[in-house]
Order: sequence, then C-alpha cells, then structure tokens
Amino acid sequence: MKIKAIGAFLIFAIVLASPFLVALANGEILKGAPQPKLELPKNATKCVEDTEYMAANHMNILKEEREQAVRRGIRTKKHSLKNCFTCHTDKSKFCDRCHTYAGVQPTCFAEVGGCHYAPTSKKQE
Amino acid sequence: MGMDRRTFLKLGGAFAVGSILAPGTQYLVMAQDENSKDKSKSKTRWAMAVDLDKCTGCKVCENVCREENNVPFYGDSADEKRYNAYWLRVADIESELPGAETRHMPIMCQHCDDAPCIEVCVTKASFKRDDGIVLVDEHRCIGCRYCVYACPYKARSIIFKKNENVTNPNVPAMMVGVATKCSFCVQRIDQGKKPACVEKCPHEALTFGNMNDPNSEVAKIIATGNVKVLRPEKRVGPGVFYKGL
Repeated sequence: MKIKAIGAFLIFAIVLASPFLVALANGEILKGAPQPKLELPKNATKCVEDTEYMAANHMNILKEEREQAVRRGIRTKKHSLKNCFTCHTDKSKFCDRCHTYAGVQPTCFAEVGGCHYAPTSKKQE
Repeated sequence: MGMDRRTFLKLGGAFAVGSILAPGTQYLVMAQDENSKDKSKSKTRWAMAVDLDKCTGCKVCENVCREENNVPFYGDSADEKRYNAYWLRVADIESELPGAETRHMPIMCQHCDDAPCIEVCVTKASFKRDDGIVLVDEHRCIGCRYCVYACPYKARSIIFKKNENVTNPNVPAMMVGVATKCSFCVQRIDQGKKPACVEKCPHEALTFGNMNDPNSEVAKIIATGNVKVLRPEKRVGPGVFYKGL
C-alpha cells in the first residue's frame, strides 16, 4: 500500500516537473530566458547616459524632461525625445522590442490617445 | 584652563545650528542655478496687440495656427463643424445699421492675469507660466470641461476626435478628450521666435512682444492708450489688446 502511494507520488512529481526536465535536457535553463534583440544605431556608439542607467531610467528622464518643458519652458536637447530619435531612427526595431518583451505600453505613442510621433517603419508603409 | 559651562553650551549650540543649516545653503545655490535657466521665471509678460483697422478678415492667421499647432479641422458641413477645435477664430461682426461695413476680429486665448480657467481647474492642468502664458498640461487634463465654461472668451476647445491630418511633426498631436487652447505658440517663443499668426499675418495687424519692456512694440502701442481689452468688466486682466475696437 505504502509503496503504491510512493510510486504514484513519484510519477506525479515527474509529470509535474516535466517541462523543467525537458528544458534542462535542452540546455535552455542554463542559457536563461530569450533576450529581446535590439538593433543598435549604426551612426552612434554612445548614448547620452550609460546603457544600464538608460535601460532602467529612460522613462523617468523623459518624464522629468516633459515636466520641465511643459510647465517651466526649459527645453534641453540632451534628454529630449527628439534627441533619442536622431540615433534610434526606428522605434519598432529598438524601443518596441523591449516594450513588447516586458509587456509595457507607453501611451505617449499609442494608436489611441497617443500624441507623440516616433520614426517607425510601420507608420511609413 | 577649563571651559566654563556657559561657553561650552554656547559653542555646542552654535555648532548644532551650523551643522543643520550648512547643507541647506548648498541647495539654495542649486536652486538659483535652476531658476536662472527657467524661462517661466523671467520678468517677461508676453502680450499681443491686434489692430482691427488693419484686419481684413482673410483668416490667414486661423489657417496658419492650425498648421503650426496641429489644431484639428474636420470640415465645414454641419455635422463635421461640431468637432472643429479653434485656437484662434476670426469673428465677423456685422452691424444692423445701413451701410455699415462688417468688422473682423481675431479672438484667441487672452492669457489673462487672473485666469478663471486656472482657478476652476481641478487637476492643476491649467497653469500660468511666470512669463504670462496660460497653458494646459495635456498629460494632466482629465477633460472635465470646467475651464471651457469658465473662460469668458470661449477660447478653449475640447478635442473630440483624433487629428489624422498632422501638418507640423515638431508639435505633438492633440490628445483626444482634453481641453486645448492658444498657447501663444509657446514652442516658438521658447526658441525666440514670434507666434505663427503674428509672423504670417499679411496685413501686419498683429503685434507680439514683452509688455513689461517699455521699448517693445507692444508696450508702445499699449502706452498710446488707444487700445481696449475684451470684456473688461470681468476684470481678468487680458494680455491681448485690441486697437480700433
């Protein structure tokens, strides 16, 4: 009776862990989750800030820039959205890939309710 | 020689006060640096003077305004007309007297000193820069329309539909469902240019400048005393002056 119960539990545990075991056998676990592939600009080598800092904080920089420009009239070039698009000339190949991966939908550029333009190959078609 | 208790306490107190205040002075200096860059904290008061004797009602300013600021225009038919937004509209004033000619008057946001639209705004989306420009922060506006009713000049419009016809890609399209109004072309002013309507008026009926600078054209026109403001009984202190009203 006891052996039957343990056997049944083992089978259940194996079935439960099967996706993990398959991934382990494929080596996918060691590789980690697939990363989004970003197309980096060809004409520039350096962003306005460090890459790591930009990846984590670009939205805060843009929000701050927006607040300063709209409410106080301080329009700087370095951190402006326009300056982003001078190098990142295609939004769908850089911004969108990460946004889609992370499930983020910035309303700034959204089809409904979005007001800002981004150079996107999709839009030009 | 030992320090007596009184001196010790005095020195201790001075040290404590100093250590609290010293870091603060650093922020004071930083704040000054910030404010020197702040265009809205200047002694400027932007104002406009309209010469109605020169205005022929050609509506160039209206169209130029639409092109510069992406103000949506859907058409002239009765159905489409309801959705049109106006930042600047040219009013035709007809007289019942026989033989009297029709006068034309461009009316835009008057950028009041005590703007009623700012007072009623529930989200503080409407605000006034220190250079006298009243603006709407479209990111913050929830479209409650209090300001539309509060404005004595009917200068505000609600955007009902998305503007498909974007003419100036340097200016963001208007958000649907928020209040918008004339900004004196704030994006041009920050670049040191004049508003689009002033620059493109073929009859030079519009003058724009700093009211607080006595040498500016606008200040000279106002100083003649020949100008009036619209609805002075409202006591809102408009920044647009009409000559020949």
